[in-house]
Amino acid sequence: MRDDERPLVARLRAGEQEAYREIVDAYRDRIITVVARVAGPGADAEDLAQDAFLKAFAALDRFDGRSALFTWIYRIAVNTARDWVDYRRRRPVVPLEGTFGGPSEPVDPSAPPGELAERDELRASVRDAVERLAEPFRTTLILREMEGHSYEEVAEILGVSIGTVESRLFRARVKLRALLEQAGVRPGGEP
Amino acid sequence: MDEASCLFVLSLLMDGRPVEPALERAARAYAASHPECERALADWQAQSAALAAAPPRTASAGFTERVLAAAGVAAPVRAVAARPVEAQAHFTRQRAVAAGIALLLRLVVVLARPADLRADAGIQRHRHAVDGFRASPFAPDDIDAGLRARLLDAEFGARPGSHP
Repeated sequence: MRDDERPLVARLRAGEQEAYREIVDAYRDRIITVVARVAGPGADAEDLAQDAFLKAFAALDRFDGRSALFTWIYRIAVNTARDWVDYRRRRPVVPLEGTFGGPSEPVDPSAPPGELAERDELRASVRDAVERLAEPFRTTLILREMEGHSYEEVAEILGVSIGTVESRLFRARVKLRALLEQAGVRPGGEP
Repeated sequence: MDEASCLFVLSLLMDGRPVEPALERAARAYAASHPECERALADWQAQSAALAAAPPRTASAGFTERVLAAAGVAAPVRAVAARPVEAQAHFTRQRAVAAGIALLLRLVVVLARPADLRADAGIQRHRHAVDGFRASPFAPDDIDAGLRARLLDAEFGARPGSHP
């Protein structure tokens, strides 16, 4: 736990409503984003994020301060989303919305329309392929490539060693590339 | 070095991970002479760029209020729910002890004053019906005599004078 978080944690443990509000306001977008990415299509990211916050609040007494408060809540959110993925894979449903849902991606006004369409198509293909990756490779790849975490952070969030992250990430890249090749997509272009 | 080892090292280098200089040189030399490794690296970089371009999500209006409301409801429920578990355990223990004492008392009373053995009405009726077919417990069944006797038996619905 960072030193500057201690007063906030103390206020949370004291049940101060304003402290809860500060935490939710500060972290909600990043928590919703990672939950949406890890849970994938068909998930109600806000519901899962809310679950994650409630789990964190209920477990505050068990927060030992070995990691930053945000990392701790973030880890709970990732696990909540992974639990949902496990549940969904046991009971498949037809997704109603896009995998990474929400707002459309930022558009580069300088890019020609044909190039934009091609790029969008490639992004959609890559993300569809990510959905077909097996766990734990999928979550490892998402945390590294989409969430931009360092290897050390991914290891801490998933509770594994850095060597495991290196190995999983390598295998995830190999498998993702194979899935794209099966779909006739070459992300790096034709040789 | 083989292709898999080369690709593993390239994966680490792509993310700026520290790799032993000798291993890095070997991987780069292998990749330079194996175009497939170069293509894999290019594909990975494109995959990575495609994934990194995914936009972040933002919470909808009222998200914080919903979480706080749920947390506000959840906290008292947890507090209230935590207490009855202990109270119920205590109450359950008390009930178990009381039931044990009652059972013991009942056993003492039964052993001290054994009741007369009596068959219930159903068994008596059954015994009567069976016995009606026999002159004695050791005699063979006489069906005709038994049925005739039953026609005259008020217990089986016979009314006086209704049968010869």
